[in-house]
Amino acid sequence: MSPVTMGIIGICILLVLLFLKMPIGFAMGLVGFVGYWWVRDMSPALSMISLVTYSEATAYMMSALPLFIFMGWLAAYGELSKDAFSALHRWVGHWRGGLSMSTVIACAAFGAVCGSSMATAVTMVPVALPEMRKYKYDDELSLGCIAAGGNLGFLIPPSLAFIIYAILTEESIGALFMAGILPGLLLTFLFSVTIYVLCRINPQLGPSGPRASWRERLVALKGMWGIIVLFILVMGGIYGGFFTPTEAAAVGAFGALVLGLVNRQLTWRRFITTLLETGKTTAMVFVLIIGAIIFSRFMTISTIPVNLARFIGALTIPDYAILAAILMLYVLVGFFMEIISVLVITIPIFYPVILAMGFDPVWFGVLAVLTMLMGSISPPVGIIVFALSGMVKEVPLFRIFKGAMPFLVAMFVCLIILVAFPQISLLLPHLMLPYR
Amino acid sequence: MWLRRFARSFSGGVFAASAVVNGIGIGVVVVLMLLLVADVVLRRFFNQPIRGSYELTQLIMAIVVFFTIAYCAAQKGHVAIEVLVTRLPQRLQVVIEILMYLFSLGLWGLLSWGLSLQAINVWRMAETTNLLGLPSYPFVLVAVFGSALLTLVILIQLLSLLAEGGRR
Repeated sequence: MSPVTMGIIGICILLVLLFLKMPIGFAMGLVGFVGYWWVRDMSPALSMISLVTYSEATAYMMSALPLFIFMGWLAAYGELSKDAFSALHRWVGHWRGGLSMSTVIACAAFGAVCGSSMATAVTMVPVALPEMRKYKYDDELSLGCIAAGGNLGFLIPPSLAFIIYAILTEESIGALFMAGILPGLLLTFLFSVTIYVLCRINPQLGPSGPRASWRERLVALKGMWGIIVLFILVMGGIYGGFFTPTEAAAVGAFGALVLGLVNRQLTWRRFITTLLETGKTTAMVFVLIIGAIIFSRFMTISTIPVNLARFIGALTIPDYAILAAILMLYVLVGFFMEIISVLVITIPIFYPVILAMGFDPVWFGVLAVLTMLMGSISPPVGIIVFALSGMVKEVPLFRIFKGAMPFLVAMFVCLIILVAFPQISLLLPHLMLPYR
Repeated sequence: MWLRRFARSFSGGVFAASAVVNGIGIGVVVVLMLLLVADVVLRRFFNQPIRGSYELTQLIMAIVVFFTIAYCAAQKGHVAIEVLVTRLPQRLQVVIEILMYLFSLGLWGLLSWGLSLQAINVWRMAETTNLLGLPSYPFVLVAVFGSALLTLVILIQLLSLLAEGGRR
């Protein structure tokens, strides 16, 4: 049997195991091991999995992960989102749908210190929802915009999704971070436009709130300085080459800790919860990545990625059609799985194809993450929506999905703009010092 | 009957052990943060970098990762796809779950074994880190310990499922 056939059988078995609810990282590791054994032999397979496991866990690049996860949870439990929201609330709250816009922009601001979409969405609920309810906003719009805004946590750096993409492809974490900034801002803008249009069509959705005086607005801005300083410190440090992403993450976590203490929100008990959450997320993410890398070793010796790249390269279909097909597949897979799992499963197979077609891998990373995020707010497995409905039990699940629908359209528009204008993603990385 | 009693008495100990070890793992994240912040400050402002902070980071990461994976499994924190299985009949679900635990057990058992062989190898060759000359083998042993503990957690989960499944 040829290695390619073995590889295809391996992929099929992996899919079966995944749908039988084996933990994703375990399933990839197991299939990777057995496949390697099948193609080579038992003893190289055993030493491959133990070497990969130890060397990936202790790779310097990977150490950015737990620290950025820690930073995100610290920012969440230190309630940095509260200040951002109340500041923005005074600036745009008097517009129609203004509170929802404040929510989305506050998500973007919070995303600048937190790397996870789940944490971003979940922390925004107790901050923004009561306020929107006070001004008689429709729950569908309120929860829809929180769910959608959560996605900005993964697009605006720091972003766990970009770190994982960088680790799997050996691209630069810094370059991917920079690449996410402008698309993240574009998406924030598109979300705000969506809210504006929705409230224009049906003013009942989001009535205008009270107008704040300029004095109040300027005073409220004080609440933003912490996030702004932290973002400039972390991203500026990476951008200017002052420190590695790992060091940036440590500095960021330390800064978030200080801000939480200054805020007086980070109690000892909350700090312990922060650490427990950090440990759990770290363990989960590392097992996924280690499983994915074991699996990709098997893929490499099965020669599937190389052959797939060669096959697609020889096709007469235009490259952009293939890109569209891959992104469509991501939308579909994203409907059933959360983004980090989709990344670790597909990147080992598709990355060589993208390189072979001559697309910029950093640009593709942004497109891939944005596409996969669509699934997190759409049925059947929209994990952010699930989390929100767990927190707000009185609103039925389908209403939150319905509320998120218009924002999916905005994400799609954003995707098309980013495909048409790669400069939006690539401008900042190309200006960055150590890159290219 | 005996299976249930065995699983119950054994599981308390293993889960408690995984929680303690997890506590060390997450505590070390704070140490890592402080080490790196100190390194950046000393290097930038006093031109006095901490010697070997790069390799210390790597060694600390061994503790962070391998001390947290078992507790994460005990909390069922490793992500899996649930859409399909939850629609199957209850009995079939239990059978599938048992099978998946067996597979997971196989993987982590093998990995613990493979890592032990690696630890012996590293010890025999007396490998040390580049700058500080620390012996590497204790950190590979951390990996062996962590994956062995994870294997135990999976075994306990399998046994309690068998004990429960027998009743259903």
